[in-house]
Amino acid sequence: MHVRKSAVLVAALLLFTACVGRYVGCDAGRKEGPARIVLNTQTDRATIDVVDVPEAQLSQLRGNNSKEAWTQVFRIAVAADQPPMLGDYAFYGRSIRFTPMFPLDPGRQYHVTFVPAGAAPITATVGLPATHTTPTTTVAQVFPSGDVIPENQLRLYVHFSAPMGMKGGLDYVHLLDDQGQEVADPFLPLDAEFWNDDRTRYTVFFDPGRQKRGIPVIEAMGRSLTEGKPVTLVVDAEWRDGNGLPLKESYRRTFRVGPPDERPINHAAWQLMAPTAGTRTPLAVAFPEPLDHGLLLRALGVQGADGRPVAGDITVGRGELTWSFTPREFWKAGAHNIVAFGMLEDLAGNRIGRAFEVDQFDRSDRSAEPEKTLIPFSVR
Amino acid sequence: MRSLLLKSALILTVVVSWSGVPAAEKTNATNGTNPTFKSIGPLAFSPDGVLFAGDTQAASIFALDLGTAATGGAPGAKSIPAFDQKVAALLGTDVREITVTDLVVHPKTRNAFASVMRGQGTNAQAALLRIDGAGKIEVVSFTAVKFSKVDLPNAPAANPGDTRNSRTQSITDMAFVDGRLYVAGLSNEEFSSKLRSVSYPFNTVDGGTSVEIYHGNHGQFETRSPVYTFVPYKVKGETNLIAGYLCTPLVKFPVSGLRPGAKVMGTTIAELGNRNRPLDMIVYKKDGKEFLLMSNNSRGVMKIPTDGFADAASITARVSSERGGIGYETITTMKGVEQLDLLDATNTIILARTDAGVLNLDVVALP
Repeated sequence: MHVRKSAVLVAALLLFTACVGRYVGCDAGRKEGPARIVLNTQTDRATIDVVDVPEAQLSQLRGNNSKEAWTQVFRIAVAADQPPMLGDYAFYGRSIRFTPMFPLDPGRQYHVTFVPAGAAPITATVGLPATHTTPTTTVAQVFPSGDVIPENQLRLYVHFSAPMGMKGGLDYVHLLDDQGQEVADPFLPLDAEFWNDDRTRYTVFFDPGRQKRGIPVIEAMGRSLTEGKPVTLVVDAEWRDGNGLPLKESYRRTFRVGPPDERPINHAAWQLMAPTAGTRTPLAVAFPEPLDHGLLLRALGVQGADGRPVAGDITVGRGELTWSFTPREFWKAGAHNIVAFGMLEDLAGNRIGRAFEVDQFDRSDRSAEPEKTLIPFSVR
Repeated sequence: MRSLLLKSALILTVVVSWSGVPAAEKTNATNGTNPTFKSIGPLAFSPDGVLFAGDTQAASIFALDLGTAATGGAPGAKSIPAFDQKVAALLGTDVREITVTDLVVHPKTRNAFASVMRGQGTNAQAALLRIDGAGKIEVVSFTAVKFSKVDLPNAPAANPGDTRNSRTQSITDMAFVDGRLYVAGLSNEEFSSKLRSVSYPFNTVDGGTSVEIYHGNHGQFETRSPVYTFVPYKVKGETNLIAGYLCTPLVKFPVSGLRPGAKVMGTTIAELGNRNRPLDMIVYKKDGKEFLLMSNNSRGVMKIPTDGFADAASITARVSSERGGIGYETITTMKGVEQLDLLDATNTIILARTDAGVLNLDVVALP
């Protein structure tokens, strides 16, 4: 007897669950009305349904052949005074289903009205629960990682611990001078997406037009960075992450400002520590000045004696003053080269053999093939 | 060398490179139905109604055959106050989740099409809207839309084994000229802009036309400046691109020069002011004269007569004031204009943001 009671209870529970969650097709045995508005989360995309609609009302509605007509009867909107949302209407048994054109936003409430002819309107507010409520994303790192930047620093990379939202960041990134006052317009007002693929790294370009010397307009405004005067980078916590939540906390970091760097990268001053054949010891390179972190990961590589690139893993050291390359396979004895693509830059945008602020007219007729500088080393 | 520097600092140099294109500079077109966008940004129509849509996040360009989505609406387009609010309501979200990225007018129906991102998070979705002459907004269903797509080739990495290449490209503007689509783009790792061209129908992006543009509007100082917006325009019968750059030189260069192996000199015909970013531009005719109408982020809408474009002297000396070269008139009645296109012979359609932050779609008589 006990077993039979349990079985009946389980069966009833299953039926209840199925009909609440997947009431489509389950209402055949139900009594008519009153109609109810429910949020259905059992489909791939959550829908808003009117269930238990009396047959007489269904019959009237089956003549609806336009979305405009439907929105007069079954209206879903983000607010009572806003136009109805776009979506598709369909009959399922004694239910009418609204499938929104775009998925419902978690945490948003939707106003629903069902106004069948000759019957009292039914209204409800439905919504999916918010999926993320606690901010967790932080600024994980900012490059350059060193304490000193040149007066003509070109760019910053802001790395986040998780993907960020679509909104660009300049509204949330500030520079404070040594008095704590905000520096006016230090960054290029580029309304473009300067994210990496997974939106965890944002590039901020300084405006070179604010860093020139000898330009009256700029001198009057004041340069954005001045040698000897520290600046503090501030990233506001209000910047929204990929879940629409603010950062867990704001970020501050103070840099000392050194003299402008207007010289090309001098690769002859790089110090190389060549590896030994038959090992996977890293090739280590030390630079006399910091180089751009993003470009160190992309614009430096190694090629073997046959001229083919060697596959390996790159590590950039503290302050972007060192770079090491660990090959996937053992080093082979012989002549090798470090390959430096032409886009490699230091903190001020200077390249190998070419400072940022020089005429480039005579070098302009370049091919699309990346310019390369080969720096030889031997593996013994 | 110094004298060369002085001269060249004030001349934009356009470099066209086709030779020695590395493998990574080549991408193939793909075709299909039901295009999927990571993000939808700049738009451009061909004269026969092919809609080019830039995916700024994926650095791809879609050519869309809109089919029936291009027809059926009342001809023309109509003003819609609080356009962004209405779009947000239609798409079932808050206005803060809506970003309108471009606005163009269909060459035949004169319906307006707007590219929109719904959402700001990782689940943001792209939408294409059609606004007709009755003010009705419809979302174009991509389901039956045929497309052809090309990816802008990304620059190769020196270390092929490293998967941490974080370089991405974005697209700032596009224009279709004589069978080719010209695309301006920026990289997140290089302070320079690229102007590529791709023939249509798409086949292979054969490195495109890789263009680097330099300019110096600060006397002898050279700056690599990003191109922001451009429009094709015939100067003495020859098709030119009229391009607006950051801070804000106006430059012309002939399209005919953008061919393999060629080098084209861009001519700076105006300096329109510092601390400014051009946003959008159109060319129109009024009372028998032609004008360039250009919206800016901080200097309003400029009306620039084009009759001086052909013979304007190239600016080759430091401009002592903020402005130089061809002059302009500021259209004070047009404020907050973020996007604009030519609606018909007498009207422009604009997206303008009020001081309160509301984005209006307005049909405005050409000034």
